[in-house]
Amino acid sequence: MLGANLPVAAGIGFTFKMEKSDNVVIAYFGEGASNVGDFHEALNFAGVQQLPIVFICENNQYAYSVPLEKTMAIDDVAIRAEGYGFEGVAINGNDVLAVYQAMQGALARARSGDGPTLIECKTYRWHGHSEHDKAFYRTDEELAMWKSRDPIPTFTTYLRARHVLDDAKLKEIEDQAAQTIDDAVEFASNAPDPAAADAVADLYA
Amino acid sequence: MSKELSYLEAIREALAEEMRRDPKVFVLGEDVGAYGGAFGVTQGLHEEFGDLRVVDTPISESAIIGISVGASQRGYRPVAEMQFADFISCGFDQIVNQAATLRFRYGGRATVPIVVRAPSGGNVGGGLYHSQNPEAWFIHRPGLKVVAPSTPYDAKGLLKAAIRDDNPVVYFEHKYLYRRAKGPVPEGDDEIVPIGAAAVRREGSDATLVAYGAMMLPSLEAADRLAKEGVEVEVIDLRTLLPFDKPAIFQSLDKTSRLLIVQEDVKTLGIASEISAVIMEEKFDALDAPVMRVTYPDTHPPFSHILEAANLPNADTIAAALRRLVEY
Repeated sequence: MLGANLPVAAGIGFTFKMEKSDNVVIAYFGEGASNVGDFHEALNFAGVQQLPIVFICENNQYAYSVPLEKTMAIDDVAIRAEGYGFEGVAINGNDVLAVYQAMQGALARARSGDGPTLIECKTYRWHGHSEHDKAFYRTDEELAMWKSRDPIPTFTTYLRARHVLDDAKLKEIEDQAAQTIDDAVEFASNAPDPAAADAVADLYA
Repeated sequence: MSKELSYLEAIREALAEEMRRDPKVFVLGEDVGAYGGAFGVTQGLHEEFGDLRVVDTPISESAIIGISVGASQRGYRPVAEMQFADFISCGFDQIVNQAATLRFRYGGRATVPIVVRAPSGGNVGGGLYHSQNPEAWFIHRPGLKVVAPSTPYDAKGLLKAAIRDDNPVVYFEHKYLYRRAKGPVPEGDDEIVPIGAAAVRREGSDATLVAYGAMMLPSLEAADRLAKEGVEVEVIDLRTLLPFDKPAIFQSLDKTSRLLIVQEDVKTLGIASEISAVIMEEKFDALDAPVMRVTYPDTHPPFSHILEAANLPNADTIAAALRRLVEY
């Protein structure tokens, strides 16, 4: 269920605390999940226990069909962190370097024993909630505006301007990504169908 | 002569011994720390094991279970306390959708060795939110195991078995028995009571009575009364509700041909319904009478002692049902 991963993440973070480990839990969820009770219970516990966790909210503006302003009376999910006693930051989630920098700060805090951080990455989903959803609840203008903020070409332009990336390297990365996807599709397509008996397997250790 | 403990002390001893034996075992819940738990079950544990293994949590039942699931994925064996079984509904999703399904979701490549302790049951004047018996919700969920001990021996032995089990186990401990039930307990680190095995508490050939938890007391009393009337009732303590011990019940039915099931849970779709259906499917030919049930009525626990006494099965109502059963 939405948000149910967050208490689980807190449990893993608690074991890192018990072990005085340098490990950090990264827990992802959407802004819609931040309205579920488990979000509150998990972030509250993580704050009380100062757990090494980075909570990453991918705020894509819609919980299925319902826009943000109809599901919460605040602009930034990040301010919810204040209620749990730790830092929350709202950033442009389509800016690769902004995400990187926010993450560096959060990881440093987690590893120095200063507890969790909530990073709200403001972003957008181009498609509907799932492929059946034509997303009639939003305007073409809004979609076009967010497409213009696509992080991949934006960051590509940035890297080219600094001569970090050239055409050959870009093509190599794109080919590699396409190959990874092709391999996964081929793997899934070639996988054997399940046997009927599998339906009742794997229930008990 | 082995020592005698109360049911509550037996639970505490199981926790302490398992925590000493295995550093991966820890307990968490509301007020379980220095305070020692609402009923005193965890008294002394915080002093011995400290903040990180006896964890006071916020009032967050869902997080308590979820944290347990998370810790279990790193090899820990958390024992989560629900302060009252009634509050387990607040952690329901984490039990039925996370803990119960995790192994299935990972195609058998994960285990979820958590225990959820749930102090359940009435006859303690607790009223609606401190008296419930929600075991049926969990016997309806594949992936879980559910136990409900009735004696200090089983309380200790089943808790140890539950902690060592690689599956999520919901452990219903009956509040009425905490200080009233006293008796010997398994000694030594490795003495456990296996999950899935019932116990015959009294042998008899005229009728079989299946019960568990605090219902064992009036059930045995009723069987004693029937004995004075010349009727020998075989009394089986289920001990484990999921999976329940079908062979033990079948074996008894071969002898008695009559079955009464007693549960403190409400009537509709409880463990008694399931046992009854299994008997109909697989053991119909052994029956000389319809399977009968004595249960709580389909209602909520009241505060009034008068109303609660009217609702709870007791030796009178159980004995009356046994007479109907053998006279059928």
